[in-house]
Amino acid sequence: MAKYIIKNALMVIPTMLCVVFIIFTINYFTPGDPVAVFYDFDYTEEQYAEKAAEWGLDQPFFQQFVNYIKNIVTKLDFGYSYYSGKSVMSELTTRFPVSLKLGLISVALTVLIGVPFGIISATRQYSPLDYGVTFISLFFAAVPGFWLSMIMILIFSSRLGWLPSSGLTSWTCYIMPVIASSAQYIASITRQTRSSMLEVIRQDYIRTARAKGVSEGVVIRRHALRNALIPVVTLIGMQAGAVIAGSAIIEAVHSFPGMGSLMMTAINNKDYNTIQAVVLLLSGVVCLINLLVDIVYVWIDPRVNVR
Amino acid sequence: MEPLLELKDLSVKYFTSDGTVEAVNGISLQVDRGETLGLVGETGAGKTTAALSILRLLPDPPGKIVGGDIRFQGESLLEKTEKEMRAIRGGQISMIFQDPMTALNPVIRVGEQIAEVILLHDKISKAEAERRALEMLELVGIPAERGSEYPHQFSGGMKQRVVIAIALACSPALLLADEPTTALDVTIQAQVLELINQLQEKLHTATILITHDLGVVAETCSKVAVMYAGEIMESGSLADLFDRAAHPYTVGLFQSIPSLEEDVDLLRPIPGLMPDPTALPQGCKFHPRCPYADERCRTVQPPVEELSPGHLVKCLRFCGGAEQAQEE
Repeated sequence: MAKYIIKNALMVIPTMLCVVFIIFTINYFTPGDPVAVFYDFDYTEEQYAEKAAEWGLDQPFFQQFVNYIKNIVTKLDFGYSYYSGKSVMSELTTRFPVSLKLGLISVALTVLIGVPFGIISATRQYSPLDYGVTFISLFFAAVPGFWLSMIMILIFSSRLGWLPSSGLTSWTCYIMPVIASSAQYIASITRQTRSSMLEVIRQDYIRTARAKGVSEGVVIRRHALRNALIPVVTLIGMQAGAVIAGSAIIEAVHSFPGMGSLMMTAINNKDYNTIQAVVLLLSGVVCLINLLVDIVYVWIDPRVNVR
Repeated sequence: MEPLLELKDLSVKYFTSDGTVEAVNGISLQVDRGETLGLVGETGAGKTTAALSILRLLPDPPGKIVGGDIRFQGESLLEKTEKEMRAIRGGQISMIFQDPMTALNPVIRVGEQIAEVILLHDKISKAEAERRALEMLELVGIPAERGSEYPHQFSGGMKQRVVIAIALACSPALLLADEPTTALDVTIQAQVLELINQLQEKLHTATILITHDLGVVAETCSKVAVMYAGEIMESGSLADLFDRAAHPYTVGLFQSIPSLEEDVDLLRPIPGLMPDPTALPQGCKFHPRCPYADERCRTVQPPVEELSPGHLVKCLRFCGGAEQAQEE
């Protein structure tokens, strides 16, 4: 077990190195001059050379790459924002917790609503309740998050005035972004849990459990659920990555100060260091979630350990 | 003394979108305490459906018991509440399923799977149940320390032993063994049958052994019932069926077994196929394949005729005197 976790954890390192290399290379070769952007295209030769040297942009590609990694590993330093001149790390420390919180609440909501409704839907297949859940989840699966955001702002902010439409001033500001970024995932988790549950419930071992005299509730909780959750966990993991990474559009609609809006601003301003740092951080989060999913697998399904 | 289990004119139908499947059509049989009944028939004859109805575990929808009664220890199982049925399942009547590869829950340790049934039916502590579960494992020939392993760590034959341990853990009065050896290697088959036999004698459990293997029946059963298209065509003691088979279907079954003494080039199967259960033939269900069928067989449902005490047959040829039929 420990060996399995360590093995999977070590796999994160080469993955991250590849990510850094690819991002760094793409950014390096992308047209656009951060120094010029910094001076708003109004600079002297000396000013330019001085800034380029300060940021290390006068050095060859490989040297820049090695320096970049060295600074991250030794000093947790992602360099300076070419646009604002501030340290990227300071920007990340204010933005990332916001997105992380938004993401974690969304994932929790997804699991707490999606899984139970999937189970209810499966255990009462073809009942009005099942049709209701299916209809609602298909509806939300089809509705894009940003549209939901706009409609919610229209109703709850403009019309009713219950919730703040933008910014992050109190906990109520989380409500709409959380709903907008999780609605689609709740819908797909519900659908996945339902179909997975329906498949498991037809298995022979469920019949064996019933033939033992196990009550229906225990059959579902103890015998069916754990087996049915195996594919659901994969899906939750994938979605958790996407949500924590921050939905740029939803954050933009709500003017929510998370990673998504930071990323959008950085891209618009050719702020390479910030782009690199954001992408790197998000890849790290995805890697960690995958690691977590792998560990949860072992816990749920004893057959995984053998491989 | 009243029989342990009595099926009276039991009928089961599956109501599917492709039509109504008449799976079991008015079967009656009795099982006494401690005795072994072999329920023989081709795939699709309704054997498993009959067994599942006894436990009231038919997949519903689409399966429904539409007629008849199932009496167990003098009480009708069809009148029991779901809660009362749960106390019977696994406790007084248990079942061994055909495919051991899929019959055990892959994510629960086998010891726990055995302990679960004990904990449900006996009022004992969890630790005690676990201890007894390991005893059961030893009883079926698996070392107790393997109780903490998962089903995927066992071979097919071992899994079937675990399934048997689960089925017999609460010393049930009746065991329904649904083709318990079909999915196993021939060498393992013999071991598993031997094991069921031993435990059954030890625990005084009556058994309905569902199989399509007449060899297995000859080895283990004292009574036999032959099913065809949801009906019991012939039933009686082992000797009645094996030495004095009367129904043309039973005779056909025995003739289709190749003999060791004779040198045969071709097997002698019963011509034709099992009828489509959504459109069963009129009259005798076997008439389209029966070499003796005449006009009457096409329209008249044969009644049950008792040839000798306990030897029942459902064929028009034996109505009004067996002698006439024997002459042919």
